[in-house]
Amino acid sequence: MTLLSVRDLTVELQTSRGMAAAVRGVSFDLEKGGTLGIVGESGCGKSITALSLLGLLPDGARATGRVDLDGTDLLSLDEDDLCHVRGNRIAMIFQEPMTSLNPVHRIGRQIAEPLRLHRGLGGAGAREEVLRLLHRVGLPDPARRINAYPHQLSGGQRQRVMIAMALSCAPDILLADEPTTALDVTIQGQILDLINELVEDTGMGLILISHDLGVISESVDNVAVMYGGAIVEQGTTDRLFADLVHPYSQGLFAAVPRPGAVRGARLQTIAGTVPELADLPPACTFADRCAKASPVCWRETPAMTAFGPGHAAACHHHERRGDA
Amino acid sequence: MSVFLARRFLSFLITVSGASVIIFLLLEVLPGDPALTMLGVDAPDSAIEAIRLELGLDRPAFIRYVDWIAGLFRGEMGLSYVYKVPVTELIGQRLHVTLPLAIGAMVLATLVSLSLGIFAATNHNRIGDYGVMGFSQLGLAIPDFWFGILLIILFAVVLHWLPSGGFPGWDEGIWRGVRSLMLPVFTQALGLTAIMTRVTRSSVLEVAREDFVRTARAKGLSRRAALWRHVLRNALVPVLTIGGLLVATVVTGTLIIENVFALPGLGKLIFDAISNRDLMVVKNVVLLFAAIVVVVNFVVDILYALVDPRIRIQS
Repeated sequence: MTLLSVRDLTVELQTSRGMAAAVRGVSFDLEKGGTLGIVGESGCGKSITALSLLGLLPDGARATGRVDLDGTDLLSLDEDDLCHVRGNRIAMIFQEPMTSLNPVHRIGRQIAEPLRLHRGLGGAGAREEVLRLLHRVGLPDPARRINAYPHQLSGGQRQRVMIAMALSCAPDILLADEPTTALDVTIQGQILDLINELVEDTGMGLILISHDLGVISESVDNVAVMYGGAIVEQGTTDRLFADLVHPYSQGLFAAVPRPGAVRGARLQTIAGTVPELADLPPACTFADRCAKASPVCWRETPAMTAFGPGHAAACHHHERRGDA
Repeated sequence: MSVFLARRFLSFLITVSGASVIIFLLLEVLPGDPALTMLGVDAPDSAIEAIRLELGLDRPAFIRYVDWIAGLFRGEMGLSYVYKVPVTELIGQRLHVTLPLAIGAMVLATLVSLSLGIFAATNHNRIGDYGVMGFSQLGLAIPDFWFGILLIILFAVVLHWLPSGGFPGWDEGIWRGVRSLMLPVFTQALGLTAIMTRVTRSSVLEVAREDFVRTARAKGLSRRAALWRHVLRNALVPVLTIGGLLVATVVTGTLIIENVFALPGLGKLIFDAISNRDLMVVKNVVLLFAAIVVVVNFVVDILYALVDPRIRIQS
């Protein structure tokens, strides 16, 4: 059953050079309990996509299209109704656990806040629930830590607190925006495992945003690759990684350093840099950096085309590698 | 916390001691003989010598300094050369005017500037923001003595709502006292409000951009709730800093305000004392001003620690 359906989502942001599209016609579905990874470079629109689901876009931004959660279009909700969705039906964890917690409030109070807000829990009830959550996310010694301030915790512990907070109202969807990027490598694995475990236990849907293909390939069933605000390729994780179709996906994958590679061999890179939003090519946003680009790529936006079951890409010059 | 308090108290003692030395030395090197001022330039030398003896000015400076400080520990500040009454008594009387004036101005400025600053920040780059910033710019540009005179012209001369100056004393009724302090308080609050409004606004704007505010919103808090519960307390730290520093401005500002409004307060007392070379009054009042400023900043430090737990741990 489809829980979240995003159709033709376009987000325009105010920039110094006028309105520019940061997200261009993005469409995807998330099944109940499903997991989706959104992968791409910084600035590709993945975080803006996530924030638009919560209606937390920067001032002056404009979102069009449809974002249906159980049949309700979130984009048409007013601020009050969105407040009931945020933290309640859709919860989010962020990249920077250092700065994402309020430094002047104890963590217990910060975790209790959504409980108070959406569940009407207060006092002892809230405290009990917070303790349960802290225990659930594996924070050692919850009874003592509940009174700690964020600066008294390590990065990994803070991210656990963020997860406890997101989990508090048993949301239908967890949005995790680069949840491990700011953490030590050893802690990254623990936090990812925790998220995966919680998704499995609670049956909530997960949208995991990352630039890290390794993180994505291990954690989600479906993947969407974004570039320049558009999804250029999507499919089930197995199929997509087995057979990358879009030149950008191929480039992104080739750029990952691998153990066992020839010593001194140059790491593959994608030519050029990510252009500013306003400078993106009008049709295929990857056209100016793509080795295969031809005039049609500048004229027509490539449509999402299926390449076998559960795998599609948007490219005029798709080329299949290996067997699908 | 007790270590924190002990350290702050020690620094308070050091600062005030340093201030007392500087004040004493300054008055030593300042030209003008109190005896000469009291008796006039035509007085015979013998009379002047007698007065100097009476005031103890014949003794070495060091002895007089130690005498002064020892007296302070006993709660004595000596006799005013001019009024012939204990300085403590003079200060006590004058505080009845200056304290309500300074506190009133500070409280009014804090209330108004917090409201205006928050209002401007929540209406960032809109008409309300521009209006508040314009007012603040004006408040910074207008000299307070001139603003005081404008207020006198409007409220006392034209409208006859409030007295133009003077202070009847609290014995004449609270309301009469309050009425005569209203214009001085407004006058003094103007500049303070202008500065603190700006600080509040920029501080709120800065904190509102922090990640944890986005977290608060992602929990489902409305913009307003996020502002009250997450932004304001964090935004308070710079406001406290500036507020503490401004207390020095308020204290010294009473000199001008009390002269404009002919109020018998500490500012007026020290102004007259300087004109009359009443050094006993000058040095004690100046030291009192210094102590007030240091104490207020001590209190501000404690408030910091209450507002921001990170400061508690560091110190």
